Amino acid sequence: MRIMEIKKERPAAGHRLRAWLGLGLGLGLMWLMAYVILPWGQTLPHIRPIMENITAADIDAGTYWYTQSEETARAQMFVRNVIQKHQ
Amino acid sequence: MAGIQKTNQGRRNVSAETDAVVIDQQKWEWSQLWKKEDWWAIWLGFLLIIAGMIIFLPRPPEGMTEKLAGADAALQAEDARAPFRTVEWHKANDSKGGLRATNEPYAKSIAKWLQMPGQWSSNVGESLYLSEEAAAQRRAKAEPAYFEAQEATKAALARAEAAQAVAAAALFNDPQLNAEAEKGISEWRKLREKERGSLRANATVQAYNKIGYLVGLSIFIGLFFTIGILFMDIDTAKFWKGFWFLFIIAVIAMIIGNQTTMRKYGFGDVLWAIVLGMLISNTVGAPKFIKEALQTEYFIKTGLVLLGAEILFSKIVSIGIPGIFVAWVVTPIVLITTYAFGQKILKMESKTLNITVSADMCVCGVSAAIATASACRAKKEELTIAVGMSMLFTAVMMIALPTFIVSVGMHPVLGGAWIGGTIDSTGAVVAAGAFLGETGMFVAATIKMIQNILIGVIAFGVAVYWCARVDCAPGQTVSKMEIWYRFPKFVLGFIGASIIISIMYSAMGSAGDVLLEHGLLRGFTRHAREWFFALAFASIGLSSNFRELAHHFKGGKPVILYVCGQSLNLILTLAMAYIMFFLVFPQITAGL
Repeated sequence: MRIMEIKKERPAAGHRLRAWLGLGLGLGLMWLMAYVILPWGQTLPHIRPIMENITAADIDAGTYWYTQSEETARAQMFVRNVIQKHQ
Repeated sequence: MAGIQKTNQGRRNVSAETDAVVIDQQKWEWSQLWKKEDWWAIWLGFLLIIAGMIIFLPRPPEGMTEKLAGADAALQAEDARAPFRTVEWHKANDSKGGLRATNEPYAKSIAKWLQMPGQWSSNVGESLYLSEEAAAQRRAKAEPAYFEAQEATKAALARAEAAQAVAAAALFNDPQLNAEAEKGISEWRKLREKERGSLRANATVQAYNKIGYLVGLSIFIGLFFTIGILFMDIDTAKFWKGFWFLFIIAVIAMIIGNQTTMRKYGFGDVLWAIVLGMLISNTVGAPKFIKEALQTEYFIKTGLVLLGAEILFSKIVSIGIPGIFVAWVVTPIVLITTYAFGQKILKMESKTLNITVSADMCVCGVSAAIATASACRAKKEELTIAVGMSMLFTAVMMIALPTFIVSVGMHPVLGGAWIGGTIDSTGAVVAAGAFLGETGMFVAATIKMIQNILIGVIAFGVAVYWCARVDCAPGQTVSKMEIWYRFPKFVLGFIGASIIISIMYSAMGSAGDVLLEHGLLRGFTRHAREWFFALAFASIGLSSNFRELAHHFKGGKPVILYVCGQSLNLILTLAMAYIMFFLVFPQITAGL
């Protein structure tokens, strides 16, 4: 009976270990992306100028709606004032 | 096989003889107004909108009307005085744009309570806490470059004013003198932009501690959603038990999304909420106690009602008729063509996946995916695929498109319109447009904003089309009442909020910018909406399955759909932008 119980425990413990290893691997990949792959990408000749521009202007390229972006506020004010002259 | 299948809307009788699916008519029950999630999304969304109006509308900045009138008068005077935008014109434009309710002390207090984790580079703790010592160190490091930039801007302004004075002495009749004045002014604007970017942010950084505010906000948001939960068939105690876990995942997602490198590539909190959630649910498994807190639809629909308030229809004329043609004519053509391509050529299995990917590709990325997926009741895995693909392709286009535009020497107005009409997310559009210069960025951002407004019409259209044509048996005619029964009711709140705020915005004139856009919307409801969407995507991630996701990718059809649709979008947008900005309305382009 005891051997059966031990045998039953082992698959569950192994499964849990695999699960946590999987989580750790996933987090590790995220770290690799944030600190190795993407920063390396910024050094490539076609990517670097745009990234430098983004850094200097402090732009958040992740905003997905116009009210989250300060630049759209300035843009629409400027364009509206320019267009009014031509109307 | 005969039987009765229960659906959200009613009962489906499946006939054994004919295999026809007949949807029973459901009677309207008034109790739906306080029992159904869609209606609670509307009530809670409007509760926040009304609360925001009560806070912001009675408290305009001091002297707002006079300052707006003064700026408008200065702009008109300068337009009449010189054939180009003078120093005084730019100062009046900056002054008008700087008048905001969000700059008032009460608005800054509200912003503190709604704030998200901050930007950080290598020290993750700085997303939540920055000591006075660390802030002082950062300021000390950044100040020399900032002061130098300030001096450079002052010097450039002096040169610009001098060149303008010389041109003015010739009554602005000398083209060469005018060109030199414009060059000097352009140089001043470039240096001013450089001074106001990251240099100023680092040189003026203050100490902060966001932890207390985040704890308070989590309690507020939990209580806010509990109002509806008390009436719906959800266990309140179990909701609260899981909500704190969900909130922490959302906070972590925001922290990752605000890391400097992620910010630059456009991989924001929405993506990380899904990734983290899926990582947990597909490895160690999502804890059982969070199940009742995973109210994806509830969070998304409430967020969408708030998003509706930000859809201001009068903005579609912001850049004149060229902008309407680029953003509102090309986009629906690409949407319908791509959807038809997906159905007829690619033969995609899921219509909801097709329309969600098509919308996010040709309209405005993540926000379009959310609104469209909710309108057609797409599966959460389908929304995940649409959002993931959009962000990936956006990062590529954010780099490739401006690089190409600059390399071929394209006019910045044309390049900006092309970027605004094709790159999915606003942040990436701004980043790409900025590479073309101030004018290119302004045109790109304005076109994208006009496209954002289109999502209101698209979500409504998709909802009606799905109820009337898709969710029925072939050949079945759906009555108007049946369309009403099936219609996703939160869309009424989405559109209603848009119509009400749009009318108010138009009626208020310039004060609408100050109090509504830069008060109610950007200073209040927008923050709430971002939090609700982050919670929704964390819920999606925590309840998603890799295998289910992989199934939808079979044959790579979503990717093929996206690539083909985006290729058509690129061609048509460029063509329309050229026709409108250079052939039909060249005077608008000349003025920009």
